[in-house]
Amino acid sequence: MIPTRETFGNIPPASVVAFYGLAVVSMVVFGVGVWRRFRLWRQGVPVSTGQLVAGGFSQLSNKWKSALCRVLKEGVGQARVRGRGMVSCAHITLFLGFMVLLLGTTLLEVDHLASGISAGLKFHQGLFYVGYEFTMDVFGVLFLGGCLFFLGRRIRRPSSVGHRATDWYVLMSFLAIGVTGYLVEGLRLVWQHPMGIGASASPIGLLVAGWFGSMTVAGARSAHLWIWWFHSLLVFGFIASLPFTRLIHAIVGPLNLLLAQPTLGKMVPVTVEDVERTERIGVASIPHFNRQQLLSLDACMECGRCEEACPAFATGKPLSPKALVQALKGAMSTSPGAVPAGGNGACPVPGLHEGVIAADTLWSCTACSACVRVCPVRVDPLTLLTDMRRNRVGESELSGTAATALRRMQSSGNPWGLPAADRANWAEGLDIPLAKDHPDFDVLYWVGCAGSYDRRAQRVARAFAKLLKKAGVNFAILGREEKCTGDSARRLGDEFLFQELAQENMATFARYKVRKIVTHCPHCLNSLVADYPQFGGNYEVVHHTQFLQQLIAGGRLKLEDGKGLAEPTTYHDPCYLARVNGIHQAPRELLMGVAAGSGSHLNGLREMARRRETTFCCGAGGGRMWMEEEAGQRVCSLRAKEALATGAKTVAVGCPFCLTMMTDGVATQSDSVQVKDVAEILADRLNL
Amino acid sequence: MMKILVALKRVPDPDTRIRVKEGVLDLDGVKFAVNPFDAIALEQAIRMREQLGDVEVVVVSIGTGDCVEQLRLGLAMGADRALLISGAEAPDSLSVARILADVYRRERPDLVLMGKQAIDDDSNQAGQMLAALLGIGQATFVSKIELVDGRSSACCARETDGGIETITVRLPAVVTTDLRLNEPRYVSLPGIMKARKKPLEEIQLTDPTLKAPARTRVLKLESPPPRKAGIRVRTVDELVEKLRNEAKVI
Repeated sequence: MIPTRETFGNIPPASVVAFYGLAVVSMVVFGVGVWRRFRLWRQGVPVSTGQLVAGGFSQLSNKWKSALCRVLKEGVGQARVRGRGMVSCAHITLFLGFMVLLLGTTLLEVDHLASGISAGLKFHQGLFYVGYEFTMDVFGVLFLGGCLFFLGRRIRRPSSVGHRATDWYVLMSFLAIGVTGYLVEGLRLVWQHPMGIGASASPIGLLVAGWFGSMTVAGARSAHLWIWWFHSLLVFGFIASLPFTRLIHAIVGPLNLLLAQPTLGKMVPVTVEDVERTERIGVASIPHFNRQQLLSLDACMECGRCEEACPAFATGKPLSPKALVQALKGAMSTSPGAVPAGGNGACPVPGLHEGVIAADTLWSCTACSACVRVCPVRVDPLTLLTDMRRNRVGESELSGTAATALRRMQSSGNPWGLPAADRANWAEGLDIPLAKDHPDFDVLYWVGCAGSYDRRAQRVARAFAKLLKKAGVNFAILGREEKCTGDSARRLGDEFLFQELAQENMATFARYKVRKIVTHCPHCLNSLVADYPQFGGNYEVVHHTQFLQQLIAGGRLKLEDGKGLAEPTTYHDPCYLARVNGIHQAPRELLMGVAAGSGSHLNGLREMARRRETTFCCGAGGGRMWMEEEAGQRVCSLRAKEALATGAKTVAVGCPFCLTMMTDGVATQSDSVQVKDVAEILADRLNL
Repeated sequence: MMKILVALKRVPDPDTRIRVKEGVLDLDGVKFAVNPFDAIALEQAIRMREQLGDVEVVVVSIGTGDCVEQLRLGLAMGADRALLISGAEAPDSLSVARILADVYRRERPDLVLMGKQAIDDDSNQAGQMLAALLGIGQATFVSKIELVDGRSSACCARETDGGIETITVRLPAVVTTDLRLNEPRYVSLPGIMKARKKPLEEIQLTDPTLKAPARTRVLKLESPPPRKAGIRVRTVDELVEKLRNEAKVI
């Protein structure tokens, strides 16, 4: 006998009709629920479809290929869910169980329809049947295991995880669906009483059937029908309620993976024409966000990873990326939903800056991108926040030291407000060529404002310049022609000040036909790499640690063999270098004085737990460099504590802002530990 | 409705270095800004409006068409309308006070707020002279203002050499603002773009007494001598020795 089972076996025809009726009802409710969310997203500014459908075939296919790959890898493959130990495992098992059960049930329906057309089309029998039943049984266990884990976690409820009453409903209904599924199968086996492989294909079902061994066939049939109904109702309830619970992330999450900006450190430009047309800049109310941003709010599951990674939250500032996303989601859900006529500035919906998001919350962010990196579904709290900052700055709602820094960038081209004429003062006595005197340079050394004006960072510039000279590099600096890249301005929300500075710098680059740039400042680097190309400035930009590493690899700088680090050293990864631009190997190799690629020799370095892409901010990014830190602990103190805990005597950094912050943080906790840039350490080793 | 008049002076940006070349200011490449103390006065006026509601803030500047830039900035900060008084020839503090008195009679504000001094000539006279010309009260070097007695008076904390003096002046009055009163908000391009719709009226001076040339003349301009480099001392004794014998201050 071919092992199989009858679909809707033991179910009276009237029940089958009712089943399909309810199935339609639940799907309609589901559809309405999703539609209602969709309407909320549609309040937003349309995402320029030009981006998605413009360009040549190969360009487009690449774009879509990478987007679909993201969905496959990060959605189906759960790549971004990993990294949280047991919780990640439980999610992956629950997810796999859910997907397989969903797929299995769909296949069953396909088989039912097919065999309805012709008995010959039935495939749910024989070997397929055995494989199917066994797979469903096994993945059912995974599904239930995941459910039980998350129920346990809801009872313990870690503070970073959001909680709502409907969460109990979701998990309990999952649990009940799984359990009743096995009961239905067990009871079916009792009355059907299959033999041989037809029975052992369902090991768990057989186990359950054992509990009902004393039941009569008629009793089993009756119980089977009842529990089958209960199981079906639970499933319909689940389908209907999905868009109204957190489970909507199962749909919106993958959608967001498809649509979200895949790279860190990028911001969307605004033009003067945009501002003239809309009479506003940035975001003051929900419809000012774009549709993808609004959609992303529904993808948030409140898992709390962003909050755990956030330096502002960790030090008691009034900012949690998760709370920000949830507050915006709340505002979106209660927003009237109508798109204002012509998308004008006169907004009929309540403003976000009046009670939804506090000013202190907006200004607490260091733009370190940690929250964006850890989000399993690529929600981007940082861009939500910087878009709102743009509005605050545009509405003249920023005052204090950050305002002073912006004013100085505007008037003097640097946040210190020092004269442009003094920009090359750091180089005095080093005989460093200016681009205007030496236009035939190979590489431009972009010194940045800190290296030019900050007393401490000037020493980094000097050390690096000496190394360049020692290696015989044909380089030049711009001197007074260099201006702030505008990174802080852009991330503080002054888009047009940034654009003005960028245009001036790009004009200077064009004048000297600059192609290759080396800089010791990761903020300048990111701006040149991520911001400038948006305005037509494309350059090869390398960090000084990469450049020095190449010089050593090429034999142009020679380190004495076997002469490693003089004393225990740790390395603090700057966010914009390691996390945002993925540069974290070169500084380490440089510190250890080893050749590129032989990463195994790096174990002499005293590493902190949070390092490379998962590094923890020093507190200076996002314009925070120019603000006082009033609430809570200082971010730099927390990070310095981590650095000191490694037992290091030297804290190496690769960023002038980190240098300032880590020096401050270390100074309050230790007298004997010094903070130095990697270039200074190398210059010391070469006795420069 | 309460009305506050704020005087804004166009001055070289405090963050640019001013050079003197052959006895005259070298303004090549120098950017201009609102006198920082005046910006503090305007910030105060805007904050009072935010707090009280029915307040009109009017900014006024005396000078050429260039001053429109600073008036627009004032409008972008939040002033409701702006007045440009043109036609005065290089006015000194007294001429400025006279012109402002004329504006006062025209506008009838309840309060005049202005910086304690302009950072270009540092005269620190116009506010006091204005109050005297008008015969109204004044509070200078103010670091805190609070309206009291049903907005009929202002309770002001004054920063004096000896400490903080708190006085109450009956309105209308002239209040000149000191550094610690507040930190002015930052104005960006979109703010200035939005403020272009606000009214800016230019008033040409016709009264010959107001147009009269200044009574003070600048005789000479020179840069201060460069500061000598400091030295680092090793001990307190060495410090005392140097203060006594080299600096001769103790």
